[in-house]
Amino acid sequence: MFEVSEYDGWSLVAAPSRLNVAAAPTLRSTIEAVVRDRHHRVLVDLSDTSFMDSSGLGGLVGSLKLARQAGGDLRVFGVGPQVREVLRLTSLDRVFTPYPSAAEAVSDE
Amino acid sequence: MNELLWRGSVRGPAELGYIDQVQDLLSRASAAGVPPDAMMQFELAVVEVVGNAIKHAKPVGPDPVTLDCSVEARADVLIGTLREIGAAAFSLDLTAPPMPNEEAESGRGLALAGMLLSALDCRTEAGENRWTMQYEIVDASDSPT
Repeated sequence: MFEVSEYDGWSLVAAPSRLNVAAAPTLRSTIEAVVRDRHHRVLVDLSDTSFMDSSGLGGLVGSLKLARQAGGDLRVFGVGPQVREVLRLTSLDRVFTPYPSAAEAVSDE
Repeated sequence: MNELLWRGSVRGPAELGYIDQVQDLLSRASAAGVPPDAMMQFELAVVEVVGNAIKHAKPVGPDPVTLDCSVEARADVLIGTLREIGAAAFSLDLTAPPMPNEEAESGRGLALAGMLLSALDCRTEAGENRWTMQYEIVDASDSPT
């Protein structure tokens, strides 16, 4: 499981440096456990993530659906150039708005 | 100019941990002087193809599938080869794999690889699937301003 902390009423999940086919299932299960614990508002910190592939992206999509089905939301921040490029290529930059910081992610109503 | 900058390979069972070995290999190629933007796109394409093999390659016999990934970096082109040894024949049209919709949790890997590479091919011969991934390096200094 990845590290989870609290930030201003949101659950903050720290993603690993490589969010690839090996790490994506752990991201998904970490967020599943968070949502199951009735913490439906999830922040994913991608500050340390220098690489994400389609499996990592699929994990984020699945986690977003889980959070929204529970009445919450999932937001990402700290997005670097490689992750930004993957979001752009897949047109998922329309789904995941990359926030510069946790503070800006939680303050966007 | 077609100077060889770097060449390397890594072999292992088709398991999740193999992907990090491939990314370590690509990091070493990156250090050999490949332009960072080209390396970033090539790495994503190779990881998608290898990830696809890890998830979907089925053994033909009692032994698990072995993967052998090699990377060759030249001044104007990056070439990746992935051998799926002992795998059932791959059969999917790679001409233009579609990108799934926004809600899909999977199915983007080969579509991404196809978008990023100048050539992506898979041939089945001698009991293995052999993927070839080619990325032409465009010299930014040649681009119109």
